[in-house]
Amino acid sequence: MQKKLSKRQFRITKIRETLAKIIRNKRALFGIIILIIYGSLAVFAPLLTPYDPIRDKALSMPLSMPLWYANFLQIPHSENVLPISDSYLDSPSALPEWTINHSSTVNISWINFTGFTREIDTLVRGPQEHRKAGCFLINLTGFPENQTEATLTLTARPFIYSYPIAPQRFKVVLLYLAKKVELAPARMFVYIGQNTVESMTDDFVGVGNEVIRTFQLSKQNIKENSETIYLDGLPLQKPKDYAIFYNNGTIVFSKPPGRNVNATANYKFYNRYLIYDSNREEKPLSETTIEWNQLLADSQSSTEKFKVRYFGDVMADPASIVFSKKPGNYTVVFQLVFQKKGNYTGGTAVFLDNLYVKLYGNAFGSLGTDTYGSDLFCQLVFGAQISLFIGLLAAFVSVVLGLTVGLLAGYVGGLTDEILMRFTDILLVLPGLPLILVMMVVLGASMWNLIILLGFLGWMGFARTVRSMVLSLRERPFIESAKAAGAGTGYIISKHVIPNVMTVVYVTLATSVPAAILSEAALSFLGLGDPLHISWGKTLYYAETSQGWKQWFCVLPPGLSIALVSLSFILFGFALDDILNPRLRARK
Amino acid sequence: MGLREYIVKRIIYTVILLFIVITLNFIIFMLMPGDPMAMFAQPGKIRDEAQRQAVMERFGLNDPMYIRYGKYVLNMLTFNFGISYMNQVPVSEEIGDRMIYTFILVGISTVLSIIIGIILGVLSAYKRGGKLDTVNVVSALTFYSLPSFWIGMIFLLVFSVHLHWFPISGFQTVGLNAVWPQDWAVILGDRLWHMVLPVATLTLFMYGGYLLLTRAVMLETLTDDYVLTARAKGLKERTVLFKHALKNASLPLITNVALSFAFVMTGAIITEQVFSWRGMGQWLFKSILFYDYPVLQAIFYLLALVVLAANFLSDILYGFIDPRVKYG
Repeated sequence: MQKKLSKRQFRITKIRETLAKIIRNKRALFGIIILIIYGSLAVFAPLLTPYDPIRDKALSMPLSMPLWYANFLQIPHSENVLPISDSYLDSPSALPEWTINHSSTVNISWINFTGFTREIDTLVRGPQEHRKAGCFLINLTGFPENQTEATLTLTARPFIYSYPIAPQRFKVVLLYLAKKVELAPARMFVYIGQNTVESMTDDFVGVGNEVIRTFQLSKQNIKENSETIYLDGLPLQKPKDYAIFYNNGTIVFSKPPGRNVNATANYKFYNRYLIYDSNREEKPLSETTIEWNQLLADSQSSTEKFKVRYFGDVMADPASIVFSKKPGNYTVVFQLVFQKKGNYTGGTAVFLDNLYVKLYGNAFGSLGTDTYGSDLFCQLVFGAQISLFIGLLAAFVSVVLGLTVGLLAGYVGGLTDEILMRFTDILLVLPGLPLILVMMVVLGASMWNLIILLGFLGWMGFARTVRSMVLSLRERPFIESAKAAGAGTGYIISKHVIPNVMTVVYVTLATSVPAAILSEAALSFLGLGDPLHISWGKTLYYAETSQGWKQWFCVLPPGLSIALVSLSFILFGFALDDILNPRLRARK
Repeated sequence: MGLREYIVKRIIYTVILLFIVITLNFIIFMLMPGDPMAMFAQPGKIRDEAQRQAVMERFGLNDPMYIRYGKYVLNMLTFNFGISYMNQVPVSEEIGDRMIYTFILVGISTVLSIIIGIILGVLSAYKRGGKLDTVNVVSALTFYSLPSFWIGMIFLLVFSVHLHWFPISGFQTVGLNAVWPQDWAVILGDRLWHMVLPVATLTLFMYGGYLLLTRAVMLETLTDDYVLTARAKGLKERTVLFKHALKNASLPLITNVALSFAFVMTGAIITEQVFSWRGMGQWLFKSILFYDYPVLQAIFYLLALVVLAANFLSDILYGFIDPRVKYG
């Protein structure tokens, strides 16, 4: 017991001394500081950013510049604006926030409602929003005397658009359910503009009316039948270009990933209401409507459907015309118009929810966005996670393999040595990256495959080093005496040989991480990275395959991060080598 | 053991290795999932079984495995690589064309990086711990840590997009109005102009390794007695460094250059991809995505051949450079 304790004491002192020496070395200190910074970025990634690097696209305009950069160089820019604060009508206080004008026969109330299905929720609100209750219920009791129309106008609080340039895009989302509208067809108008609803006209963008500056998004009839969902104005019936991925209960809206989009690419979509196969031009396998579960009981028929409607940029970029008088006060107005048709007997109701409006800015976050509007800072911190994880694990696998092969070849010798070393020679002759590329295509582009491949193809040099060290160790007197004392091979290897090669193991561990990180980056850059994870190489791949490579904020941060982390590991490894294997110190 | 016996032994060993590598190439591509037929033929093109059989026959996919292996080994040894699935052109034809481009690109950058690496490495070792040494070592390590494709991207961003000094991609100007051989100067200039950025990228990617190795070896050599003797004789410092010390320090360098041929393809794939340079690397990458086995087998085989030949030559060269080396 006493002996063991003192041994441990001795080891602790040794480690402490080594650490002190490392810290005294300027380059090693630099490396350690950088590694600590990136390590904590990786560990605390989910706390540092509210977004998800894969799922959250279209957070801002494509290739938005970093906010601080725009401020620093005083580049005219705009930021995201969400004019409606309680879009999801979560609490009863949502109603007083709106200025409501309505015909005497129309009434509106807030109702508590938990009938949203999970699917509709994620589709409309995006993955980060939580499911909440509440919506507006509009009842039509009849039509005013001598009038053929009954109107309800919801005017949001005016908001100040304070940026010197117009937003380059805006999006309006609206969720509605219509009951019994055959006798009173309803139309929905959405306005964004500087005027009140009385002065709004039906002018469309093309007219470019400077005085009115109101854009009427749509005056489509509200229908009870199912309709196509429009996302950002792109009809999803052409699944060739875009596809919806349904992943873990969240929706990813993106182009099919990877460069090798070819005849065999077979995408599976686990989407409950949009199922597309990129190979086949078939109709969606299920309808684009979702049952309203909760209120089904008191509805008259079972055919009622909940509909999602996106008013995207249906016209080519109306945003700049709508917001031409910037900065200024603007208002969002939703107007519902019922039309009298025949002898109305009552019972028409419309449920409204998710009155969501977003104006897209061109400056965003601390590192801007990429071509898909995804946050680059988010990609950087989650990329740190993946790059470090793959680098460390692959280095570990290769060092363990190299150590095993080297020990066996060196200590056992004879035929074992010959076979193992010739095997090493063969692996050294095979071309590294091309082989990994081939195997990645064969095995499938996943993170674990990559780690295994990098580990299995990176141990040869280290095995040779260990073997040569063991060869000289084997002849030393202390091994001889251990043998003479009757120690077995396993005992000698674990108690006498391994402790003597451990210093080299630590150094190799540190210096082979960069190789793994760089290989991972190269593979991801070529489009063979794991599609489920973001890494620095993949950020650069996205940049290279789109217009992103012309923007410094897309290219510099991930590239510099790869370089800094690799360099830090190398510097740390070299310093460790100097301290643990002090061969060179004698010479001046 | 004399030189001749040593060479014979090395040749036998190299041939055995070559055979193993050839066999491995066969096995790897046989194990690959997916029918190459499906890849090579557009869906709907092959209508009936007879047509399918005809195509299988053409690519020799009907034979039993051992006959295919025998044919394959023979084909490899006679440099008859078959027909590419992708564009149905004999592989050997396209290889020649592609190889020239890669050879020029990789050759120039390798030579440049060796020269730069050795000169800077020697100077670094000479002034060990000095300012130049620190700058050299740190920059070499930095360039070693930078992903090569990223260096390429930055070059493109700075010199092509912002400064417009060099073209963005390709190996010649599209629609260049010049005829070979009358306008040779124009064509040559155009090609060189297109080569600057890829060559610079590859050179920066490679020189660091040579620099660090030269420096390490020279540090060992400079403390040897004969260097002291040379200095004592009053020889110029340059002569001492580059003639006396470097010559003896060059042995590990030669091994390293020989081994680095295996890694050249790594740099080539990425650089050619970034600069759309139509060489072997780009071709290899395309072939991987298209499961074009004949092309892949050919490239892997040629690469192994080059690496083995380089290793073999470097072993033999040892003796000519350093008479102290005993073969055995």
